[in-house]
Amino acid sequence: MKSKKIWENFILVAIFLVIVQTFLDDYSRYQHWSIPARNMLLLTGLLFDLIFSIEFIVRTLLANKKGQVLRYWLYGRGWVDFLSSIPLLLFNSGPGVYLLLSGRMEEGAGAIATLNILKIVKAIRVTRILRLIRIMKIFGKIHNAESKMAQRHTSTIATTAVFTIIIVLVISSFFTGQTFERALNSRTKSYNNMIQSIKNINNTMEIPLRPLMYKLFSGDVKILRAHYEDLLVFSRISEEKFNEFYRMDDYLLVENDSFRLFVSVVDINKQISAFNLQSFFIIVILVFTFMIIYTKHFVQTISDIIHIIRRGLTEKDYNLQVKIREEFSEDEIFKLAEYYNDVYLPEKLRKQQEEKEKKGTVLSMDDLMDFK
Amino acid sequence: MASETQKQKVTGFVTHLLNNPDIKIEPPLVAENLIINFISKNLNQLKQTFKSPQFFPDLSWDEALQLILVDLRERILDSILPELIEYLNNNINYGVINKVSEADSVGASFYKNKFVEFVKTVLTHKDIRYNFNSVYNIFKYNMLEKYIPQIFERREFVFNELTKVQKMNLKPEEYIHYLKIIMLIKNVAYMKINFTPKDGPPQKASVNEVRKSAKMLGQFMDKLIAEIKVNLPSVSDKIMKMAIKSNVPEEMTELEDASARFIYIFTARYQDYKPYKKIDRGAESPDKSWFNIARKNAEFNGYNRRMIDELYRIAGDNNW
Repeated sequence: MKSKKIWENFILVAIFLVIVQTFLDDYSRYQHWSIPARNMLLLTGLLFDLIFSIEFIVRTLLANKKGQVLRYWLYGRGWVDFLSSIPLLLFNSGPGVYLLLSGRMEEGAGAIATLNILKIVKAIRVTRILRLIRIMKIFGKIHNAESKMAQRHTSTIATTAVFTIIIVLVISSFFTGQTFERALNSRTKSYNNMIQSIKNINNTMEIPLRPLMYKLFSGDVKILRAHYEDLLVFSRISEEKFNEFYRMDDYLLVENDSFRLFVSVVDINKQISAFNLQSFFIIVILVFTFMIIYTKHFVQTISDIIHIIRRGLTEKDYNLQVKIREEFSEDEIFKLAEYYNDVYLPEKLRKQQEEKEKKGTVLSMDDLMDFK
Repeated sequence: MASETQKQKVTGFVTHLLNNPDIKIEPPLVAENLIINFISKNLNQLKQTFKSPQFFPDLSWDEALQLILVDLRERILDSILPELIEYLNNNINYGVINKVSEADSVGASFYKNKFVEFVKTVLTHKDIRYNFNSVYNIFKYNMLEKYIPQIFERREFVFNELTKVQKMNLKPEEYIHYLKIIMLIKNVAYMKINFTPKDGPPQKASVNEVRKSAKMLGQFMDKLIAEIKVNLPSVSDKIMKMAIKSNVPEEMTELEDASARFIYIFTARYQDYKPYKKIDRGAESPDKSWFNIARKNAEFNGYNRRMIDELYRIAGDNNW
């Protein structure tokens, strides 16, 4: 029991931390933090995905032991546990870390590896939105109201809303993903054209290549570095800065004959991150709004009333009436409360009074049996 | 004569009863009443049970019963009297009696001493003790201090009844003391007295037996007042009658008995009063709930409907 509580609290802390991690992951891209900082966030993401995957597997095994797997999946939010763990491990943090490691091996891995990495990059762009599903896990862990019914209803309605938003985001991300993809392709194409133009000018006007490249590239802030015949012709930032701030997914490598251009795509990444952050905030605010406003509304208009009536029905000395809010007085629950206030309680007190006069005591002979 | 060991066993038996979970949650005066009722309802069975070695085989039934009742009474009185006497000495201005009586003025300290002795004496009667629980609660939780200023501030029905209908011109704080004095006398009416109705045989009766007949009530009051006068000389008949009438339903009172009607409701409210540890969210406050339920049962219980309505509004406005 105690270890279960420790585990539950650990998962609760992990949920809060993973929400922070999700925010920081996109914020770090938006602000273009250094590679070590972003890699650290990538690794923590992998760690969280592993934790939640283990949690999901353990919960499924325990439910299976009791023959309640279906119940766990449908009513115990097993599907949320699943969506917020294994797919993210397989399609988000896993490939991300693979990309990180492959990036380091890039020089030796060759063209095929690079092509595979680019495919993974595309997949990540879509699945990153799925990370927001984790926020729904919060409902199972935070008991924001004493009433179990209030918790369940709030969580159901909020889960429905959040899941709908996520579905819309996932679907729309296919289109926005394509837009970003097109932007990347168009950028590659335009810099290939630029290299071609340089070659043409060099051929027709016989202007030396290196000064020409330097002149053209220094005016374009997207070009980070340019190599010609394996020699560095132009560099906007030092080697040290480049290694510190530019990861594989921060630039395009445009290769044409002996030309190699490193073109920044930080602006495109910023747009993606801005979109993700926007989605993140919509969902977080939605979740907390449901937890605070809707739970309060539900408790005040449903579960509190039931709680008071139940106590009045079952407890001898509990005779408090239900406060009937005028604005909701036509609701079925308040009609019931009105009956409880105006008919049941007066009758209960009358009966108690009669019984008190008739019986006059709460003791029985059995109460003497244990006297020594 | 019971030995010390036997007395100790009796004490243990009373402790056992007082520690019963259903008794323990009750205030001392109510707990005692429940135990006494239990004994009186099970006399025959207890007679047999007490003979067993587990109980009091060496004591006669009468002896055992007497020891139990005395022990119980002493314990209950010990638990409330010190606090109550301190209250009577420090929280009631007996000078108000002179203000409402036509009799010669007597010093407030005279009244104080007389009332303290009177209360000590009347509380030796079990029926008075039980009914005194409402008064004890009203004093303990300063209920008059809460409601009377509100009644005077609003100047609505209860105010008119207490001042104009009753023709009593007192300041709110004087009214509080006046009502407290009535409450101190009130429960004497539950003491059974030897009384011979003009057209009936002699009988031993308390207010419970005469409350349904105005004629009987009048004769009972005259007899009771004569008995009370022995302990409370100089307290006017008007005050005594008001006190006795505060035990009967509205229909048995005269128009000018407003204080009696008010106290009848007020003591009914606090007879079974137990402060709630926590009021559930969404629930009405305890007093508001009680007065609202009492409105529905007003006729059944003999409460003045308009007084209850006003007390309900006061409780609601103040979240009491």
